Amino acid sequence: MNDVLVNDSKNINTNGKATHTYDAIVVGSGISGGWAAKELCDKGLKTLVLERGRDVQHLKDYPTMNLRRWELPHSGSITLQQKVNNPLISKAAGYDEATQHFFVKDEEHPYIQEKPFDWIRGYQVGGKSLTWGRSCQRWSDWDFSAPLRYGYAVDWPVRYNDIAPWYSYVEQFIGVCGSRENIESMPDGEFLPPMEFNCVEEHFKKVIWDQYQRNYIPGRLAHITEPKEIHGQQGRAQCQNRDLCMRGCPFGGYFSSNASTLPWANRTGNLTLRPHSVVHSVIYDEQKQKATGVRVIDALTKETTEYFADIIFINASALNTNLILLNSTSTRFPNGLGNDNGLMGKYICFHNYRGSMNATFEGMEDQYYKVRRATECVIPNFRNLKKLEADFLGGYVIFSGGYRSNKIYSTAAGIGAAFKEELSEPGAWGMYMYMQGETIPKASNHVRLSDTEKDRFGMPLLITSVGYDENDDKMVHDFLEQGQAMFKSAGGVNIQVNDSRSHRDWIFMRWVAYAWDMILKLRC
Amino acid sequence: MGGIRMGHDPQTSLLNKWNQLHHCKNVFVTDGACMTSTGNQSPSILYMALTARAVNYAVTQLKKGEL
Ligand SMILES: Cc1cc2nc3c(=O)[nH]c(=O)nc-3n(C[C@H](O)[C@H](O)[C@H](O)COP(=O)(O)OP(=O)(O)OC[C@H]3O[C@@H](n4cnc5c(N)ncnc54)[C@H](O)[C@@H]3O)c2cc1C
Repeated sequence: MNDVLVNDSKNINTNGKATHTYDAIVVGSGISGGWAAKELCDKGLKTLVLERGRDVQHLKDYPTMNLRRWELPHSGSITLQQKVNNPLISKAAGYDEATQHFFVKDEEHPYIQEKPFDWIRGYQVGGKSLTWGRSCQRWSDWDFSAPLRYGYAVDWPVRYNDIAPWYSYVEQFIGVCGSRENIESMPDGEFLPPMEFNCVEEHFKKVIWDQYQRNYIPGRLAHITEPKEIHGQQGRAQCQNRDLCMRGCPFGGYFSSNASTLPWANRTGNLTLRPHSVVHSVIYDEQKQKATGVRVIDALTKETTEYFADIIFINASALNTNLILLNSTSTRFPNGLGNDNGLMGKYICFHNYRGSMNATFEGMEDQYYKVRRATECVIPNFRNLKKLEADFLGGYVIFSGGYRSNKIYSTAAGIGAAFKEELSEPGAWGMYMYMQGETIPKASNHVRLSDTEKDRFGMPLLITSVGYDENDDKMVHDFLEQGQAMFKSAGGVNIQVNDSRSHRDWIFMRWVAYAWDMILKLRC
Repeated sequence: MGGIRMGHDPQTSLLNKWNQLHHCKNVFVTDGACMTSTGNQSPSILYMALTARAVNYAVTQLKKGEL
């Protein structure tokens, strides 16, 4: 029903079934697919990883990893033409001239937005693991039990204790820096030493603990601050605080599939990685009553091939996994594989980054910081933990950091030596905060397949119908109120607040701060 | 996130507690599609943990001849 390729047997290359048979198939090589590959290969299963994008090998395929800003054709900026061609992706945090090759361009992979929804993707070996923000906080039982306690979605079939040992297992392997804090809403993990606070962060931490009993902690990020043997075995070394992570790290200082899980899986001899392999659907065998394999369209030749295995892991990232399974139709499952209840594609939820703010802090001008710390600080969620106390459901975490801004330059003296001198002076301390808020899953926020429109591989286009609601508005309001109050308590002035109403205004304030910061650093 | 959520009941969810499709047991979903709710934390480390846990289960079941 979905595609000619499925029914048109002359296009299907089923030659040599044996050579196309593995113990396990993993669809996607990003953060989750890389882990599936590593674990399956470690357990001795011959594993085929199918990845729709091109190959990206650690070090070899990071063309910008060692470039200075002035060595890039446009000093790192995206050109106006590129912005016009790619309005959506141009909004993504970290998307710039040095990282753009790891993001999907708008026109290459269209989807249909019934409501505005920014879908940021990375189609290559490693997926978004190359460009992710590397933040790694654990869930607490307050989070796993919230739907049951407050009556939304359905109950999670797992609790913190089921997952805790696996969190530890993963943290030890990937390397997560952080401090042990004993905070109920954000359990501690197996941490490498935390990154340091700067003086304005130290000050802020003290104030919000004294006045609000809220925590301000060093971010928990997948950075190796002190390499252990397991990291050496992966060929990864200590984070050098270059803060150029999204280009790919020459030291393997942060976790990516490319630096870590995929080469590890490869060394077992059990891995076959096939790039340029767009998985079309899962093949269901009505007699055996199970899946037998997947249909793949070669992205270069457009030829369709089938691969077979006992176990299939779908790790194509949330929305693409929905697309693949909705597209996996058979007589038994006319609405998508396993979709008897018709709920597949529904209850889509996301994180709300609408709220952000910035403030200036006077004083402490004799202090500075030493490194380009690639991490930020965190205020763990303090809303709706033990009981529902806000006028909205869910909670939010706040990311934050302090920085030295640039001076407000006066060009009164012209652009000579005096101006240069002025440029070399750092300005006042500043701080930013932005929220990462829970959104409440509901049936009306959904994705589905287009009946009429297809992509260049003959796959139906995904329609996204996902938007904000009143609960989100209230949460943003609360963050803006609480954030300002905390800034004021700590002596922050010139507080600027922003509700962007964009789904993915990722780390907006951080990049504003970063841009300011760069101006100063470029001197060095 | 979500769309192929985990849950106890095949009537109201797509995946069981091992990230296995209720109605097609040898297919596992361990990326963001499995999320029943989003929480407020950055999600990827949870996907990694759920993945390692699901692989462990899948391989055990396979060896027992249950998949
Ligand atoms: C700018 C940015 C910052 C982020 N920061 C953080 C953070 O700090 N912390 C955090 O936890 N998360 C963060 N995230 C989210 C994080 O990147 C994702 O949660 C994570 O990458 C999801 O892992 P995944 O394996 O599901 O998908 P991905 O890493 O996206 O990998 C999916 C792979 O599947 C492939 N694929 C897709 N469709 C098919 C198909 N049909 N056939 C074959 N292959 C296919 C893709 O090409 C891709 O390689 C951030 C995301 C962005 C964009």
